Amino acid sequence: MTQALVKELRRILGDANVLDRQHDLLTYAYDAALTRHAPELVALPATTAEVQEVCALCMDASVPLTARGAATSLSGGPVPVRGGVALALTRMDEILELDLENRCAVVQPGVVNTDLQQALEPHGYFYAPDPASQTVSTLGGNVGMNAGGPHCLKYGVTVNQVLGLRVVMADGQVLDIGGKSLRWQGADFAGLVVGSEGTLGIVTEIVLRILPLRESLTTVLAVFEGVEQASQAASEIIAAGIIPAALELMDRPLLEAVQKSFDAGYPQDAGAVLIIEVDGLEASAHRELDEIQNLCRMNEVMRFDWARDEEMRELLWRGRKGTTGAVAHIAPSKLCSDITVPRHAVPLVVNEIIRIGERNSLPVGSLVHAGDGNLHPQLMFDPRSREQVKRALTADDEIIQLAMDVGGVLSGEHGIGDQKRKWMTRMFGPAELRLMYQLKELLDPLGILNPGKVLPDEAGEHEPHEPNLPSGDFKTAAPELAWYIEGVLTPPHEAELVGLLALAAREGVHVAPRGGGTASAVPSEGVVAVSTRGLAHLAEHDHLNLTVTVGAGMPLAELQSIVAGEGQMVALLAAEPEEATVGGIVASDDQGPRGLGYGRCRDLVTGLTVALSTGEVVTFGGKCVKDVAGYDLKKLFIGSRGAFGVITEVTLRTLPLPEERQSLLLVSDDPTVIASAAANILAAPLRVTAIEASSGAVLSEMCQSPELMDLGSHAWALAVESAGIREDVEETARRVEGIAHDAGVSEAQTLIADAADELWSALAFLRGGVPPEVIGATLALPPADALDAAARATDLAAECGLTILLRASPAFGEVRLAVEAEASDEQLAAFGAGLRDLAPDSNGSLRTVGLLPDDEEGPLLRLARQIKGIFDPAGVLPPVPGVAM
Amino acid sequence: MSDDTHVADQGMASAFVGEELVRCNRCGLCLMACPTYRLSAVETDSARGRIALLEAMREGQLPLNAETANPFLECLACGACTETCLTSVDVNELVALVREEWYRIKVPPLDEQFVFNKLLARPRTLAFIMRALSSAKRSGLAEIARRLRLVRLVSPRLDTALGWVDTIPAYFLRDRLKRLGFRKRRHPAGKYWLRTFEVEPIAPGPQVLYFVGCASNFSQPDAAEAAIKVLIRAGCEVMIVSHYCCGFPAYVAGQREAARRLAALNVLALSRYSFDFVVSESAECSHFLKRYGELLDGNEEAERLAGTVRDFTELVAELRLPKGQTEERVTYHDPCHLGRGQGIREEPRHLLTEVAGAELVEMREANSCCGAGGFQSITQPAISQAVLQRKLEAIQETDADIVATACPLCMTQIAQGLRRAGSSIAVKHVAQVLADALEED
Repeated sequence: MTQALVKELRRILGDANVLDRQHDLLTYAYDAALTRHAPELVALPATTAEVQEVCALCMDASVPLTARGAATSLSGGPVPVRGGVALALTRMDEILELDLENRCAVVQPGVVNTDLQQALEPHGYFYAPDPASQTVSTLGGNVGMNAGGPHCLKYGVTVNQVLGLRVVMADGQVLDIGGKSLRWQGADFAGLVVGSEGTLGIVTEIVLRILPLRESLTTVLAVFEGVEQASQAASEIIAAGIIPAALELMDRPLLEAVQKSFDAGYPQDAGAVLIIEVDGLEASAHRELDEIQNLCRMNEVMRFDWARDEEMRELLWRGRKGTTGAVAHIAPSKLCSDITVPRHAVPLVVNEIIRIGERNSLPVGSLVHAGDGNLHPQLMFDPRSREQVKRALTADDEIIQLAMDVGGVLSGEHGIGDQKRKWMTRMFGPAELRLMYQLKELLDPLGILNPGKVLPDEAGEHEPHEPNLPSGDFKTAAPELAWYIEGVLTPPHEAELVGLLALAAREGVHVAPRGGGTASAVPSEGVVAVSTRGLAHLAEHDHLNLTVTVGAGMPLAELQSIVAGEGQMVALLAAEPEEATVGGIVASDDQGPRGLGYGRCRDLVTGLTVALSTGEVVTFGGKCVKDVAGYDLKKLFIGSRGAFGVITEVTLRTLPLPEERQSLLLVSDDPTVIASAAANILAAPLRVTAIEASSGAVLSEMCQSPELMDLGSHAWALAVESAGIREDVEETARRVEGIAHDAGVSEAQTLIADAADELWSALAFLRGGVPPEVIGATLALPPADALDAAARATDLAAECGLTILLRASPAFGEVRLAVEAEASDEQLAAFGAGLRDLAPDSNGSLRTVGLLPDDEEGPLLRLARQIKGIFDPAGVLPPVPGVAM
Repeated sequence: MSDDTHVADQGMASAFVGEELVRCNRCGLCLMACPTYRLSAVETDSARGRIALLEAMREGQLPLNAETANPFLECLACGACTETCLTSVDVNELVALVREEWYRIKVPPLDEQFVFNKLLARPRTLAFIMRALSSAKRSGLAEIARRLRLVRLVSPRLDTALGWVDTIPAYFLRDRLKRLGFRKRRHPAGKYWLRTFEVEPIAPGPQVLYFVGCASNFSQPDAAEAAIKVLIRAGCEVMIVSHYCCGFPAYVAGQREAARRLAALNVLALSRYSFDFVVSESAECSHFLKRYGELLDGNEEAERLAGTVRDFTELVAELRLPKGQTEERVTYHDPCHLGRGQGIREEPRHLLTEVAGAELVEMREANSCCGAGGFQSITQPAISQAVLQRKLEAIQETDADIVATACPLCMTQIAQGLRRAGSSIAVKHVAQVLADALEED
């Protein structure tokens, strides 16, 4: 590092915020794992602008730059193993906004997780991810490592909460991704940046989803004689489709260690315990607990220790979260391993880990997020003995190997850092790794961002892939293969599909991938439509793990009927489930309204296999619900409509079919009444799975049920669905009616099942610009603005003399509309221009079909096109979906 | 702060340090507990950072010099890190060891040496100097001398201290004993002051040897006076003898030898008398007195004396007092040396609400350090003031009439902060709130 650079950094950040004395550097040389390496300089920026300048300077000088928060990481992630600058973001610790109306918080990366929780609590909200380090770890660090925590079982890990990011790229440019809407236009870049350990960019602002505080919270310690019974019980609870708020397993050595630190109330006569927490509405809490207790009894539970009050509950959790520190009572140091396995494999793996400990003569304790199959074996040793350290590392390797043998993954939530890099070549094939390298090179060409992490050092140049091409040229070969079904090429297997893509790439033939064609335009001249309908196989329904893997071409209805055989469902909804394919739904990120209750496509897809135009087939993810190994490239294919590759196989989370499902319909002529009813419903901790608004006239026109035919007399209708345990659903319906009444709606009625199905199907149909014949638009905006925007769009359409079909989602922050019937170019232009003014200045985006030209200038779009160059160098797949603003 | 650590005879290279260091896994759970880290958000200023530095020093990777000693000198010894640490690494002790080692290499500042080695062991001289300073401060002479930079010339720390305190009382606690009804008694061991109850109580309380801390005597005599009145009201017989500074300021400044000398002197001075308990309303003194046993390597006399030490709030909570009446809203600051140091959190709150009858409004982070930390308010004024800011905000948010606490150093620190902030919130010792409430009824 040159003196000039140091001087320049001092000028930008001020002398006090640039540290280069030896002892300062030494304290930036570690995290909570075993990696040690000091930086050459520590920079403590206070603003995004300062981070930009630091990045630009380091890029110019080719100096490594490693971002960090509190450095509580367990994989070496924030340790500057190649020296250079440690970029400590701890001074950027401001909560910029608590936006309760839109159920999100805007924070700087240095805000400590618990500080956000404490700021939210008085307002009746909470932020779900709660890593054990939460009292000190920063949200920026949580984003960098895609942190989890015990309560992620029910509410998802960090990536599932991130709505928007401000990212400073290696060259100092700022990229704003997403906003306050839960709906994204196009590929999920935030999903790529989250968990990338600061190797792709530096996050300087985060928009996080927040949830209303639970009404009831019951915590119980189920005490078991042995770890086998405890893990079996946990496994059976999940297999029964019960998702408690937390389901944590600890075995005897760890219980003893914690009790040595302080009295957490842990039993000393147990072989293992499960910490079980159930939350939700008072109405159903006992039902869920009863079922859980029964399953525990069937596995010889010794007794249940109930947390009688908040103090005891806090103690139980303090003990659990302090476990990795407390193990020092057994041996001075520990290696906290981190693997995820399919959930029914937990009992087997726990047993095997005990044997690994014995084999390596090391005390080992099992700390397991049993609900999602994420295990943290604690290997205990004395760091002063080289031999013990070696044995600990060997045991860790054996544990990772074990995970991979049972279909698990390298890391569930601690990240790859530098400690697990060597395993990446085992986890991923050469094609997947090449894509990761190329992506890294594109975003960080000089490799200055946290070098030596995530990806193993490249061993020489990669061999260019030689696809196994079908003989002949595209035009002659394809028809001969007799795959044309109604003018669409429909290869019967993945191998043929990828061969076709490679052939198209070689000859420059443009390809339009499609599924059932329910959302596909008629291909333009010279573009060949290729369907995935031939790939409709069931690969595996692992109902005990709550996942299903199917060919992308399987229609949704078929998938639902397969999983229903085990009493399960997938949370996707399509208007034409007989035609719409799973792959098509994922590629267009168009899962219908149930994303509120069960998660969006990006939350539900755990694994994807994709055919590329390079002739390669690549797989990202698998059937583990917690997986932070490598860059999460599967996120790019969700919502990008085939621009990067053609999805051939999808693994989705499944859920138990709800015991009860109820839909309520609220009507009013005043959109503000509907908006306020929706806002109050969403602010309450109710079991609402979907909530959508539309115009009464549109719905009455589309539906046949008598209840829905009369809707035409009301301007606005709000559909609310609740599903789950009967008591919850009834209580939710009761309270929704109360809220609706208070908000002043004209009428609230509960729909019978057939009418409800028809209503939701109609709402799923209203998804905006659906080619071929429909012109339309999708607005993504802060949820609280959705109904206002919908009302204004309706007025605007009337002014322009157009009729529109429209759906507004106050939960997602989305308005989708389609222009009906004939319209002149002038009318459409006026409407398009009006829509452009409609989305709020910030945090909104607009995508149109046939209304406005795509925005050519957006940095995000530019980046998407560059990334496309990696996946589809020949450029034969469709262009990346653009946005109009 | 674990009780089983042995304080004495520990160099940085000792096995004790090795055992403490190896238990730190760098998990970082102590980070946000550390007031100096919260200030700067710089790892070097954290407990984990200090441990890493000490380890590097032990392994010969890092020299101990003016720069590297600084993070250790800046520690406020509040003990919050150890409280959050699941393996209870005794950071205070490690920091004190480094300070001690440092002052073996570098001669401590002359004024500090004079205070710790000479003055604190000479109560009369100390009182004489304090009296002079009191006059100087109250007459404005001190201010003139400070403006002329004369004070700084003699002692930069005295200069800070004089600027820091609002005033120095004209009458110290020991000047007030006669007025408080104490009478001189003879004893083979030496003269002492005794205050018995006027009316024979139904159940006589314990015999209390009241330990008059330096800060209590010179800075907050009203608090000590109130404490004595409450003890008498509760039926105690109170005696006051000649003794020395408890030694904590020297200890925390890294002058462990000076601290041990003072402790030994006190053991001699106090053990000659017979009493049930040694009591002080200064949490810092009561905490340090309780540690005399370990400090003096398990010396029997010292152990026995330490066993009789009670903090004022601890003892009074067990005694019988009538219920008082007060209308005031009170918030309570836990002194580090009472809450964390002695585990006494409920007792002062109980006294405020159940005995004094006050309305208690909890402030946020009531147990976080006020920044006084021994003499740190004088030796590390910048950090001390910055840490105080957070405390002042928490106090002011409560909208209380009174902030009560149980340590004269915290009182002085918070009082000067509130005065500068222009706040009307009064700072009182729990004993004062009690005494006022009992007087009213």
